[in-house]
Amino acid sequence: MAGYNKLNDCCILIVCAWVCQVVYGTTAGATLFATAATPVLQTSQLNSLQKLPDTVAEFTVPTFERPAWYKKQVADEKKAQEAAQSNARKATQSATGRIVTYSLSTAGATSSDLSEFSSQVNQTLNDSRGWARMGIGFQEVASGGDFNLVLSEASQVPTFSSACSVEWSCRVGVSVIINDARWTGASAAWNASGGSLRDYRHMVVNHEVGHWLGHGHLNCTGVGQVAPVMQQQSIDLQGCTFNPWPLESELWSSQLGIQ
Amino acid sequence: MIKRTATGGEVMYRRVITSCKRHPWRALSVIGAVLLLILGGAYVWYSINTWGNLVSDAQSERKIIKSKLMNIHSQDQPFESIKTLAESVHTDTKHLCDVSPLVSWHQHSFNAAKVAHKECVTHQRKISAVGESLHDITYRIDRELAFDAHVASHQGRLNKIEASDYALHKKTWQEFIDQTQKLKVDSSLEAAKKAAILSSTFIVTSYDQLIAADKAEKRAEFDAAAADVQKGFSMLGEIQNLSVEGYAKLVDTAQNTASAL
Repeated sequence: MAGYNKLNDCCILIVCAWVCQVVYGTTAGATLFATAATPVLQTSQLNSLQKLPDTVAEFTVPTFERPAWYKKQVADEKKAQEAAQSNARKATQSATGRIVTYSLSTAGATSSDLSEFSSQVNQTLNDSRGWARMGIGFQEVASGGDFNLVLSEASQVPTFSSACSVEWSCRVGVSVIINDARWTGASAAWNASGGSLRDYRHMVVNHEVGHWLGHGHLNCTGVGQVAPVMQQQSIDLQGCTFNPWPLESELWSSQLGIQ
Repeated sequence: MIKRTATGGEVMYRRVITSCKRHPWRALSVIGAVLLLILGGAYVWYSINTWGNLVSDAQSERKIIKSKLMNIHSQDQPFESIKTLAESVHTDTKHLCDVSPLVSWHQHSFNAAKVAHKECVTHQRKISAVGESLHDITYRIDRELAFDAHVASHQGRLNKIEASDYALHKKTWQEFIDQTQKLKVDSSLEAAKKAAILSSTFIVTSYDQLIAADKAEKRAEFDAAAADVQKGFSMLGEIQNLSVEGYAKLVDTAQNTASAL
């Protein structure tokens, strides 16, 4: 009985399939279905007839070459501004006293780019956030100068003084020694605190030059406080937040006689 | 020898012939009746044929138009195809439901004829609506092509002028405004035309200010006027939007009328 039912179902399916084939296989059937699937009038073809939007899009907005009188006015203004700034700088420098000069040298086999070292050191020293706030300027000279900034191979640092180590930068007399290993890779404590290499370079230059200016080491004044630049931030932040620039309280120099 | 006796029909025929020979007016009456019968039959056949075909012809015309519309997208020159189709729809459907005066009075007397005529007119209206919407599109595109050529030629002229020749730029834009105002456009393009005039007027005014600032050597005014000219150019973008919007409405109408077929 069950076998008969299956046979019966199968026959019905075959007949249905045949009827569908015959009905939908005819042209009329195909047209009927095509009509249902696609619109009578296809808009893409009609939309392609439009030309004006594309033509309007081709209008190019003019760029105005500034007239000669305009350029002259701008140049004159720039000159006047520069002159004013220069006068202001001169006035500030004359008010505080001096330009500090320094020379650059290397010790041992250093891996850093010396021209980059020279440029970044000068930027740091004359940065408006740094020691320049005391109204002094720093100028690199070919030789001699008030102090000598040395980029030293790590192993060469202790040769300046037994107080200096291969680990850190150091200052001995007029020699401000920057450890090449620290210049290229900062320190573990600094990197762990999330400080950038550029900020470390600011800090180490300010710190070692700070020694030459007459400063000793300072400690962190409290957890969460901004570290003084004379704190040994390369070794331990002591709970302070890292800081590459001298605090207001650090703006003095026994070396230069600035209170 | 067997003698064949006459059948009933033959007897009747002979009697009629004999009677007609005796009475000629009867002969005429018989001939007239036969002719009338033939003519009446022919008229009835013609009437049935006319009213019957009226609806089927309208239906087949709808199918033909529909099929042509579906094939437009495969044409090499769709604009020409639409134009031809719009014209043929107009000519073919103009007299679609007209019938001979011999039978036209039936629609006032016979319900079947009235229904057939009404059905034909329904088909005719749907086909005509498609024809009108296609005609609107072709007319619009014709107008738009003229507008487009006007804009393109203006662009070409502007490209040849030195950027620093503010006066010539201003003059060219003023000419653009004058010519645009004279341009004949259809209602779907009217808003775009107004936007073109508005934005180019703004450009002309800004060039006026630019020329004055240049002459007086006033930098702030010069910068402001230059920024305004650039703003005027960005306002030209409104032409695109309005042009597309106006055309989209025509296309929607055409699609709706086509779908109703």
